[in-house]
Amino acid sequence: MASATGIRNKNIELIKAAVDTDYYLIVVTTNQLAGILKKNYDKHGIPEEKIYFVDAVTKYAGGTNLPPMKNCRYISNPGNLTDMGIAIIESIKELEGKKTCLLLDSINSMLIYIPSHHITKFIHFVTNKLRIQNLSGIFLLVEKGIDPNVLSQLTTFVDEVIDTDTMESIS
Amino acid sequence: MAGFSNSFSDERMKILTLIILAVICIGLEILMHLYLGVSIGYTHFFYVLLVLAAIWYQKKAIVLAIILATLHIAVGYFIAGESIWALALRGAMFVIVTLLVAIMSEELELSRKKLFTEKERLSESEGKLKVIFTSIQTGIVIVEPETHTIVEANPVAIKLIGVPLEEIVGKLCHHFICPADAGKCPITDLGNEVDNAERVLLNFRGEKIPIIKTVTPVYLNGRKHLLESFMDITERKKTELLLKETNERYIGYIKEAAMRLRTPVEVVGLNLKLIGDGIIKGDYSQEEIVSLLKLQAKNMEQIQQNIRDLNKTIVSSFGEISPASEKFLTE
Repeated sequence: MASATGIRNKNIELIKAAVDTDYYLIVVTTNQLAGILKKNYDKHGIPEEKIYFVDAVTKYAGGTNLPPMKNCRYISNPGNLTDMGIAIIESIKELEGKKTCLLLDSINSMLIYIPSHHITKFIHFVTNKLRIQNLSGIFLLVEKGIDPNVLSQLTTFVDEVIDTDTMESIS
Repeated sequence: MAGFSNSFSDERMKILTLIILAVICIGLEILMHLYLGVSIGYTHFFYVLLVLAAIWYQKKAIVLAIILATLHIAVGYFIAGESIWALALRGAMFVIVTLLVAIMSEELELSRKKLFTEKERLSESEGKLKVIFTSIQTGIVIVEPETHTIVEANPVAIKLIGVPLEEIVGKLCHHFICPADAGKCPITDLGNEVDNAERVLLNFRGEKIPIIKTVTPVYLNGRKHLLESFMDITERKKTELLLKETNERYIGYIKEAAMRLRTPVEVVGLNLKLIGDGIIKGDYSQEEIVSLLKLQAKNMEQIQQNIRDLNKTIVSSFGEISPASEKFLTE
């Protein structure tokens, strides 16, 4: 969990930390364009071959003229959870045998497109996939932007809830 | 006295009895006094006639006493030549005894009438109570507090419990009207008061029926009992539950609205600020700026759609709404 203003920086910090510990990352982005994120990562010295994107917003924003990106799967609509699930599974398969971590940025921006109960089910689905494959996952969210009941449900799917502002474990 | 009175209650029998006794008295007067010259002793028999007359006809019997006294004095004084004082004393005794018995009889009659009136009143009152007990729309059960057995139940209580009165009377109260365990009676064992308290009643199927109950100690036939009165509040509970569910749904919609409207607007606002900062710093190409702004515009469109979707759900879920308001909320 992070503050609304700090969540973008946390994305980069967490990815850097993961890459430094030899992780490959599947970045599921529902708020920022993958191309912009990639540029930011390059700027921070994050090796592009270690990042795989599932971009749910570029096509949605009509960004058809953007140059094609390596290791990036585009979804036409961020509300299409089926396509998002398929893209995640394909990315996991592609990284099979590698130390992989999934980063979902962010649950709050997903709420623009999807009702909370569908998000809860989707997160449950993704966490189950990760557990089965023995993979790591990070789900970013702004604490104040989510109903405590939904948050408490989401908390039951994960191993630990960390406040990234203080880096203290909450759960 | 009552049996005696009853056996002679017939008016004609009374008059006949008095006539026979009067004839015997007159006969004794003539035989004993006039012919045999005995002036005392036989007159004791007169009291039988006078007492009976006084009991039955009260002070009217004094007339008979005066007649007998006059006859006795007349026979004794004018024919036998006896002392007027002794005769007058005997005659006076006839009248005095008759008067006293008449007064006592009148008092007795008055008491009897009073008793009868009181009995009538009690009977009427009992009848009224019975009507109230059977027609009141509140369940009433009377419990014997020492054994906790039910001694009476009214029709509403019988209907709620669901078995005939014979199957309720004699049963322990915690089988039906109070689910507390034996030895844990809230009134007699725990000393609690039950006054308009929400409780449950167990019907014959063991189903719990919500009730509002009041328990009042009362004395019936000189013994302490517990009068338990209760009202079925199943419908009220259903309404409360419905209201609670409706409130929960309202809160659910408000929460969902907060998550899908307030937070996204904040996200878009923050994104626009960061885009603005990026443009100033020259972080983005022309194409990237267009895509970023298009995305935020799409986000705003989606937020508007979310508002419409939530409005539609609210309109379809909550009560009546005018077509104009429905159109305004959903289009």
